[in-house]
Amino acid sequence: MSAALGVTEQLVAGRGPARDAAVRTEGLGRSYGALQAVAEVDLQIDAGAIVGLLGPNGSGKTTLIRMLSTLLRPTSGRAWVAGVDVRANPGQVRRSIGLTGQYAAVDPFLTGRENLHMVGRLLGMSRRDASARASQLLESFDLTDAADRALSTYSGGMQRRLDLALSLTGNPAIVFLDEPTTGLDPRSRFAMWQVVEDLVAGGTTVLLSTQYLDEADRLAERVVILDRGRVVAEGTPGGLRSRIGGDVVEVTLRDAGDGSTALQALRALATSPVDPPLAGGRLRIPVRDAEALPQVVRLLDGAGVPFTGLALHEPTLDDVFLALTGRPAAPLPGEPT
Amino acid sequence: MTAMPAAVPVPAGVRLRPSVWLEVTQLTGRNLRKIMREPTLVFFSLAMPVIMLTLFSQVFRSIAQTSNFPAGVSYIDYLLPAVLCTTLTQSATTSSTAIATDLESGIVDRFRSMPIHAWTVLLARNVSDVVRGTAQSLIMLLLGWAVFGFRFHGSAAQAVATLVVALPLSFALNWLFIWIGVLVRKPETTQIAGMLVTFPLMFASSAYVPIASLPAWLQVVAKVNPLSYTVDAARGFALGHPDPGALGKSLLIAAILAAVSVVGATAAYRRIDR
Repeated sequence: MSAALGVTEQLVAGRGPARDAAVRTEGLGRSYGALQAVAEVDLQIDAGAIVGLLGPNGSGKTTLIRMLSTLLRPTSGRAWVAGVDVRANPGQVRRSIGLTGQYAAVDPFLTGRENLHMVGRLLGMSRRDASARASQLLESFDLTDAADRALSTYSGGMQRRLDLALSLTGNPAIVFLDEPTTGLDPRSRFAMWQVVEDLVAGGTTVLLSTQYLDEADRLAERVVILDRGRVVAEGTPGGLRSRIGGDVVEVTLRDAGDGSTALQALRALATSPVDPPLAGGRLRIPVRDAEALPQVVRLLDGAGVPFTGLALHEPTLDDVFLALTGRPAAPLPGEPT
Repeated sequence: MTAMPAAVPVPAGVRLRPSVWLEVTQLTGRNLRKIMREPTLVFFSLAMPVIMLTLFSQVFRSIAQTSNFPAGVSYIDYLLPAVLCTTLTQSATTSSTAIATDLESGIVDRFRSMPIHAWTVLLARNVSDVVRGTAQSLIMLLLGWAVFGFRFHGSAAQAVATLVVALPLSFALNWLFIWIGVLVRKPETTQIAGMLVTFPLMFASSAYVPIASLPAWLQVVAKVNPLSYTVDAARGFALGHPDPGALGKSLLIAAILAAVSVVGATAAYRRIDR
């Protein structure tokens, strides 16, 4: 499947002649024995773009990012990062990338400042430059107060910020962020979004994986949806949203036994397949927009189905998944992952 | 928390001059710092040889009166050079635990996504562990001298040689254990693997008793045990009559073991991506 991604026309125009893609893959795949973690991924990310990699746990996001950042060797296909083949010349690729994984790649035995200083020195900075750079990054990631404390005293959000600061020490042109906000509190999450937006504004290419539709929506120009290691859809967040309708109406039935009657009555409104009723007599119906609400009320009245709750929601990853694949994002019990 | 300002670029004028020297020194410094910050590790890695020295010097004292034992030599003078060698051997096992811990913690992912050499990460591990082992040896020596009455029989140069002669084997064994650590990648498993390798090395050797006093089958093992030659060489220097044959064999074995282990460990580290 081809999923050619590009930045918008204006951006390319603003950058002069078309450049090499920052990231390009052809039929990229990784298998572990019989398990195909990633299969036949064709991607192109132009320099300066930000692309979101959306998918549930186990969909292959981390495997894909680890292959692009040279930590994991592909078993099929090819990938180029900053124009360099990751398999043939991983050392060269590492000069252009920064990686912040789902688990902080920080040295737990050093302080925050020592971590930054060490990475700066390893990149070849002089002692003075590495110190200055460490202070600058500590300041901008709001870690100055904790700079000389052991990492065991850092919160999850602080460790993640330090991790990102380490990735950015050498100003990489391409940054991979693997679920940078998973497990963070809302405030840290928002702060992380701002950093990502600043990075992109500064011209850095970003590939960001996430399980959250709102995160992809907010940050990414383009979204690639992975399911069981394969690209199942790609496009702008708005485009994907329109593919599943737009919004989701959630109806809470007074009597859970009315589920199938209600489903029958509302089916005509749905823009994509509807889940069977959830526990507690809740039904989620993908609809085009808010104007569907009065129709829902009329149709349920007409069918004589009483309900106790009615709400309009933004679609979640689950809704997108259901629309695209006909099944929920979370694996069903008993289903192999 | 204040709003996070822009992700700042590197200031103008900062020059990047990566070098192998910087990689090795930075990573070694980091490893040594880590050792110093684990006081329990420092304590137990010292406690073990101290207990060994205390127990062996008392339990096996009477061996000095047996016919296989060199005449006119006290057991502590015979034992201590061997304990210096076995301390370095035991110390080498912590290399595999340390590298496995790093592999688990994610910091190795950081190193592997950076433009630094694979082998400098491993060499730095080795250098820091040899430094630590040497520090342990010096403490043993001081303790043996102050508490148990150990004395060198030879010249000052021979005394220095007693300490230095075990370093090549220590270096080689560190590489072997780094290799094991990279292959195993589980800190708990590496500790068992370490015991499995070091205990036969230490006991089926000339370290604690003369080889001639061992059962016949164990003598065969002790004679192919590289540690025996290193112990003999160190003991020769300590007692003031150097053993060039043992020294030569010790160095040769260390060189071969180091060559094989360097290649194996580096290849294993590069294969982590598979």
